[in-house]
Amino acid sequence: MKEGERRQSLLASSSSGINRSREVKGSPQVKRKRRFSGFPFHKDSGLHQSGKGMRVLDSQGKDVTPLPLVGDTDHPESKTRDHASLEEILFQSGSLGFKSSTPTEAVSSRLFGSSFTTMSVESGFLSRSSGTEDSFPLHGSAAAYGESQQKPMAEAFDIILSETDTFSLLDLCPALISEEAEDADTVIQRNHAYAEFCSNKMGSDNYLDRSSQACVGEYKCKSTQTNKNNSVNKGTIATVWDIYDSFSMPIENRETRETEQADYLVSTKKEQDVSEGTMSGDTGSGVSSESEVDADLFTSSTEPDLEKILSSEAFMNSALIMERVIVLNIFQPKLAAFRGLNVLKDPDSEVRPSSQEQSPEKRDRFLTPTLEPLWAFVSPLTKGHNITSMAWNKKNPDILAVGYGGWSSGKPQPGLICCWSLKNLMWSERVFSCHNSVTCLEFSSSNPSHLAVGLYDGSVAIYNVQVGDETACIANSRDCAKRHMQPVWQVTWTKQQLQLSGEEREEVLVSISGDGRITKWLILHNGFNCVDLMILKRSGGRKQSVSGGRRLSIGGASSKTENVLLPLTTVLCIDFHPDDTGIYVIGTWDGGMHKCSLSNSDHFLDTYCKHPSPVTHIEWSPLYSDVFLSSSSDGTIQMWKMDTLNPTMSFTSVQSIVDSVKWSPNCCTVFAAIYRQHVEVWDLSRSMFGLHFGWGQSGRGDCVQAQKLQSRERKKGDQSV
Amino acid sequence: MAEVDEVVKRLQAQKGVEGVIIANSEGIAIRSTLEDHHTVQYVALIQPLLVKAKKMLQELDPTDDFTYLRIRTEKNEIIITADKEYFMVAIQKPAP
Repeated sequence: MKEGERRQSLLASSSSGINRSREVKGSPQVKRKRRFSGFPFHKDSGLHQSGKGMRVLDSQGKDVTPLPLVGDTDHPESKTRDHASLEEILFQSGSLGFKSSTPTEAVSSRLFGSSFTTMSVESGFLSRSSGTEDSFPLHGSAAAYGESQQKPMAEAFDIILSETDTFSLLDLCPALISEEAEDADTVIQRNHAYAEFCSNKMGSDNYLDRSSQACVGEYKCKSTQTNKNNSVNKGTIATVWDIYDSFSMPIENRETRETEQADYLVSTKKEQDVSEGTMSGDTGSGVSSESEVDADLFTSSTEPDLEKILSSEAFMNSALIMERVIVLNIFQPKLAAFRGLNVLKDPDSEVRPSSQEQSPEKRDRFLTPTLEPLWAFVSPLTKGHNITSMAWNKKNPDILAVGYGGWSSGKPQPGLICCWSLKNLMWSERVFSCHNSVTCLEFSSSNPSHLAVGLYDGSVAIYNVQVGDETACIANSRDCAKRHMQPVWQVTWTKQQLQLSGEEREEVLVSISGDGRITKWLILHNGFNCVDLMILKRSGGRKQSVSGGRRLSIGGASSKTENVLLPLTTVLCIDFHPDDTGIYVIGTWDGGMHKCSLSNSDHFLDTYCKHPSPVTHIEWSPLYSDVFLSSSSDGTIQMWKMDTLNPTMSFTSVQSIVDSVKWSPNCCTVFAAIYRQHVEVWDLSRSMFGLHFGWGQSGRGDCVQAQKLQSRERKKGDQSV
Repeated sequence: MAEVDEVVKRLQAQKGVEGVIIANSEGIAIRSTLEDHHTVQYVALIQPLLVKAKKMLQELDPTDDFTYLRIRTEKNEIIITADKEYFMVAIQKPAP
C-alpha cells in the first residue's frame, strides 16, 4: 500500500521526464489523501510491549519483529526527539518527506527535498547513491527506532497519505516558430524528416527497442563451498543386436556382459582402431572398465588361460568343424557325385581332365553304367579290422555305423564300432570298443541315436551314439540270465503293437543267434531282459517242430533237456514284414526259410525251401508288398512271394557265395547283391534275367547296405586294407 | 591336451593343408604349424576381419551365430572357425 504508492509517484515523475517528445504537463496534483488508522502491519496482529522493548507479532503469533539493519548509534538529531514512536519515525510526514526503513526511499525522500530539476533520474543512480549515503539517514531512523523501543506505545494515531506534487525532472520546452519566418522551411523539413524517421524506426532493423529494468534490487554476495560435480561424457549407439541382447538376457548377466564388452574393447584396442570402440556400445563403461581389465591382464598369467581354451568343449566343436571343412574341400567332387549334384570344377585347380562320373542308373546311351568307387572310409584305427556289418542311421542319413570284428582265427578278437559321418571321410566321429567281435548292427528308428549291436559271444548291447565316451552303452546283456550263448547273427528293430492298446507302436529289439533262439529284448527298470519269441530245433524232416513258448522263461535250457538229441538250428537272418509286423521270415543254416508269426510261437506258418545251403540274407521289398528276396551260399538269389511256396524268380550269375542282397529303397525293381569278389546291381525292369552290371574289387564282401538317396549309391563293406 | 595336438596333427596330415594356427581372441598364437613370422602375420590380419564379420552377422540377425568363414583365393583357401575366446585358421591348397 504505502510502498506501491511511492513507486507510482516515482514512476510517474520519471516517465514524464524521459519521454521528451511529450510536453510536460504541469499536471494538477491530485492530492490523494488516504487515511487509515492503525498500524501498517496485520490488523489482527498485536503490538505489545515487553520488558525488553517493542515486539511485533503476526496473526499466527510468530515474532516478526523487524531487526535493525544497522547497529545502534546515537545521532544528535535523534536525541532531540522525545517519545518518538516507531510509527512516527516510519511514517512521519514532514518537509523532508517520508522517512522509512528502506534506504531507497529514505534517500529518495532526501533527494526530493533538494532541488534537482536538472538532474536526470535513473533508478540505478538512486540505488547507487543509496549505497553511499544510506548510512546517514538511517542512523537517525535507526537510532530513533532504537530509542523508541524503550518507550511503550501510547495511543492510536492517524496516518495520512497524500500525494506529492509532480516533480518535473526534465523540461524541454518546444520552440515555436511562425510559418512566415525565414528558416521556417528548414524547420518544416526537419520536422518532416523527423516524422519520417520516427515512422521508419518502427519496423527497421537499424533500431532496436529494448527495455531495461529500472529498479534493480540490491545484490549481496555470498560465497559457499560445495563438492565439485564430476561429469562424465557418456555416449552410446543402440545397435540392433545390442537391443536384442539386452532384452533377451536376464538381469544378472548384464554386468557380465558389460565386462565382456570391456574385454572386447581391450582386444580391439590393439589394432588401434578407435572407431571400433565406439561401435561396440557403451563407450563410458568401456573406458572405465578398460583400465580394470588391463590390470587384470597384467596380473594374471596368460599361459593357463591359453591351455584352458584348448581343452574347452567349444574348441573341440570348432576343431570338428574345421576338420570337416577341410575334408570336404578335398572330397568335394566325390561327395557331390554321391549326392547327385553337379560336380563343379574348381576354377583354380590345376588343369587335369577329371574322370567322368557316372551315376549307376543313368540312362546313358554311350557307355554302360558302371559302379565307380567314390571313397573308402578308412582310418588308422580301423586298420586290420574286418568289417562285419554296417547300418545307416534312420534319421540322419549321413551317419553310418560300422562294426568291426573277426573270428576267422577261432579266437575272438576285440571288436570296434565306428560311427562315420559323410562330412568327415577321414576320421570316424565316434569309436566304441567292444570286448568281442561285432557281428551285426542296427539303428533304431524310434530313438535314432540308439544303436543295437550283436556280438560274437552272444551278447547284445545298445549304444547311444550321441555320447562320445564310455557311457554310451546303455544296455548290455551280459548280466541277463537268458542271454544268447552263440553268436548273434542279426539284430533288428521292429515296431510292434502293444497288446493293450492297439494303436501304439513300440519298437522292440529282436535278435537271432546261433542257438536257435529268436528273442525279443526289453529294457525294463531292472535291466535288460529278453523274452523268447521262438526257438528252433533241427529235425530230420522238412517241417520242423518248435518247442518253447513266450511265457517260458527257461527257454533254451528246457528244450535242451527235453530233446537232448536234437541240436538247435542256427538262425542266420530275419526280416519282419514291413506292413504286417506280426509276420517275419527267418532263414536258417539248413537252407530252409520259415514264415513265422509273433502270435504263434509253436509252429511256422509257412516254409520256403529252395536253398540247399545256408541262407545268408532275407529282405522284404520295401516298396512292393509281399515280395522278398533271399540270398544263399549256393550262389543264387531267389525272389519269393509271400504265399507261394516256390520262388517266383531266381537269379544266378556267378558261382560264389552271395553274402547279402538288398533292395533299393527308391526303385522297386533294383537290388544289389554282394558276392565274394564283387558287387552286382540287378535291375529287373531292364531285363528279366540279366545282370545289369557289376564291379569287381579285391577283398571279400560281406555286407551291403543301400542308402536311401536320390541317386541310390551303394556302400560295400569289406575287409579294409 | 593330447586331443588337441592329435586334432592338429590330423588336420595337418590332410591333403593340401599347408598350415594350422590356433590363437586366442587377443591375437596370441597358441599352436601353429607355420613359422613364427607367418603365424604372426596371419593372426594379426585375420583378427580384425573376424571382429568385423561377427559384428556384421549380429547386426543382420542377433539370434544367429558365427560358425566359420572361408576365404578362397587363387592359390589357396583359408578356413577360419572362431568362438568367443579363440579362433582357428587352416590354410589349404585346393584339391586338383
